[in-house]
Amino acid sequence: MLLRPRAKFLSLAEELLSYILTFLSCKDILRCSSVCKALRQTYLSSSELQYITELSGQQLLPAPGMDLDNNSSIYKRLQLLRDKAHAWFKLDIHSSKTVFIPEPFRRLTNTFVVDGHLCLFNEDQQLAKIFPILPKPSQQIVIEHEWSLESLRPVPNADCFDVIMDPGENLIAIAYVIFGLPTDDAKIYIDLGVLDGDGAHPQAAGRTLFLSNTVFQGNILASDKLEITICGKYITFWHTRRRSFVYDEPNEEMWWLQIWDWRHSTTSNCVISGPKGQDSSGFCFLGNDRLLTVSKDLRLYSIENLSQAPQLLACFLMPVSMTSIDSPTPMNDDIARNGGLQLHAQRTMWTSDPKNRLLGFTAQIQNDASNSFTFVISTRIFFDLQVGRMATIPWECWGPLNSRIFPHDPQCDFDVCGNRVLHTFPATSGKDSSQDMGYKLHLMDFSPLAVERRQGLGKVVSEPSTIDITESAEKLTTFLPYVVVEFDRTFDADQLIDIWFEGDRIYLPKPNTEDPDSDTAGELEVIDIEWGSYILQS
Amino acid sequence: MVHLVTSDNVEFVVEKEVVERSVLIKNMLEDVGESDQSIPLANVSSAVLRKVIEYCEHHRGEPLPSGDADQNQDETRKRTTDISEWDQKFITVDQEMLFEIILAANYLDIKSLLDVGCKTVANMIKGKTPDEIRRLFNIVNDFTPEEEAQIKKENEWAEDR
Repeated sequence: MLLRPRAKFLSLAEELLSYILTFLSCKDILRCSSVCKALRQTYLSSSELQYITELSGQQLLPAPGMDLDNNSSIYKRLQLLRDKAHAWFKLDIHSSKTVFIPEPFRRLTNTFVVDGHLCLFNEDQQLAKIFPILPKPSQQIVIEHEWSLESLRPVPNADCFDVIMDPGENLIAIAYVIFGLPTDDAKIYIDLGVLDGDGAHPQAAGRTLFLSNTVFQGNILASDKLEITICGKYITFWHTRRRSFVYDEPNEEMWWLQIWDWRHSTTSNCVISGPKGQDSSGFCFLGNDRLLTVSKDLRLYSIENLSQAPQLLACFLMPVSMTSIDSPTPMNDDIARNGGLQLHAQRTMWTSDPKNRLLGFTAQIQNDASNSFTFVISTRIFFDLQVGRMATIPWECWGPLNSRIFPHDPQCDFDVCGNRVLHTFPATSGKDSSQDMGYKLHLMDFSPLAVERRQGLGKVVSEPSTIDITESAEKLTTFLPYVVVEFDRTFDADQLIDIWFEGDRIYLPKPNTEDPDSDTAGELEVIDIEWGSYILQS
Repeated sequence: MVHLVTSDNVEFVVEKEVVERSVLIKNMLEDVGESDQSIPLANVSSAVLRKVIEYCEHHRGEPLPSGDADQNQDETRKRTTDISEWDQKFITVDQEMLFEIILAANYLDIKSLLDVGCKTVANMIKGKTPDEIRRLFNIVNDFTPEEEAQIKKENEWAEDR
């Protein structure tokens, strides 16, 4: 008979100890690593445990379908993740490439970047085009196609007013109006098709999405705003119009939003509306089944079942009255993707954690253009709710610790990607602020590990910041810590007409030199962030 | 029937179907072929083997995780420490027995039992402070106060989340 000492926790082999810890969260793992030297060693010699904490610290989730038991690849992945975080802080924004934007697609309002593709639409000529922007060898989705929209519409007298594309889902959605007689019979339709061809989408529940009766059908005014978006499994239709078409009546402008799960059904009862007033407003998806609308306040809805009306979970009050809200970032949500997710994941290995990313929008305070601010809010707060009856939460209880507010000059622009914000600020000379010194690009990272490690050129901002609202004694103090890098390149105000920020790329549309005053872009400057030389094999 | 002999020299006679939930024994039987010779398990005591056999009998006939299926399950395994009701009751034992079961499951290569054991330990740790974990497992804090302060500072970011 073999005599053995009594089995204890620490008598387990290191591989068993680390295996046990892989079942724990980042916080519990780090607590274990501070229990004693043996457990510290277990943590330091396990790539998998460090990978879990690194992901969590960068506020990422492992992409589904990844084999976590393959240790060598975990080690590689950990290195890659760390390299990626480093690369952002030694980014050289002087070296860039330029992509020509073809005629007749130069209007900025109908130009957008999705999944490394440039998506273009010309409303007057009813043309649409998509092409990859300098595709990398590792890029898995590369779609190039051009349409005359007549080929996509079922009826000849239809007029397309919006086209939206999603390469990850291989989906194109076209919104069009058919004018009947009399004119108040005009009807709006949204049709779906494949992006890399001309046919119907095989996963779509049908070719045409049906608008709910509460959503607009009828007289269309030129001033009405009509817009569709695709966000993974969701398609949305947003529009603003007067509540009534009888002009003598006191009339309120309203916005309506309808949401479909396009794979599941062509109908939906998921409609949200609100008074437009002087505010413009917007919305974004949070994770798989939550939606946030941004207007006078932030309203959080559960949209688990689209055959039912959305359920209002909570209302987050803002500290001041806001107007001219510029659309919150749409949250190109990796989690809400299904078909696209697999393709996406193979390329990236991880996805941004919807519970820990950033919402950004700009707003004027008290209807004063000189009082314009960028709000950056951690989405964590929208998931920490106690489930139960609807709550109204005052700003003091949720805002200061979960946000940062920055002054926003009318020439400034910003974009958000995961935990990072790219924002232009006026360059300051230190003495005379009235002198035009041009603009500088600031990259801010709000993930806890970035703040903790303060890599490279980054400057940590952990002290609170206070903004003064002119013409009122009010002050707003916000606390969310971040690390910021100010890039040393200066832009002229008229050179910075927009910023798009996607994963490891920055896109800057350049004004059309032939027609500089128009809202058009002739070229797209592409700045790549190089992070490590590994080519990932899944 | 398969004959097993434990470290304390107790012989168990177990149905082949039951004992083959252990990949170690399954491979051994495949290599050796049918034989009446008993298999010595020098690392497993009779008290522990009794528990292991109880587990294997309850889960008899369930598909064994194959290499491929394992990868697919991997995603759900991570982060979830859910344990079925029967397993939960089965694994309600004292700490010493719990660690013995983990060691035996690891040695005998019974993945599902190993996971039940490891998840149980993880659940015991979950939400506890380092001090509470020390008390739980009777671990001596062997850091110097300086080292401890340093580690605490390094890990601070994860605490206020």
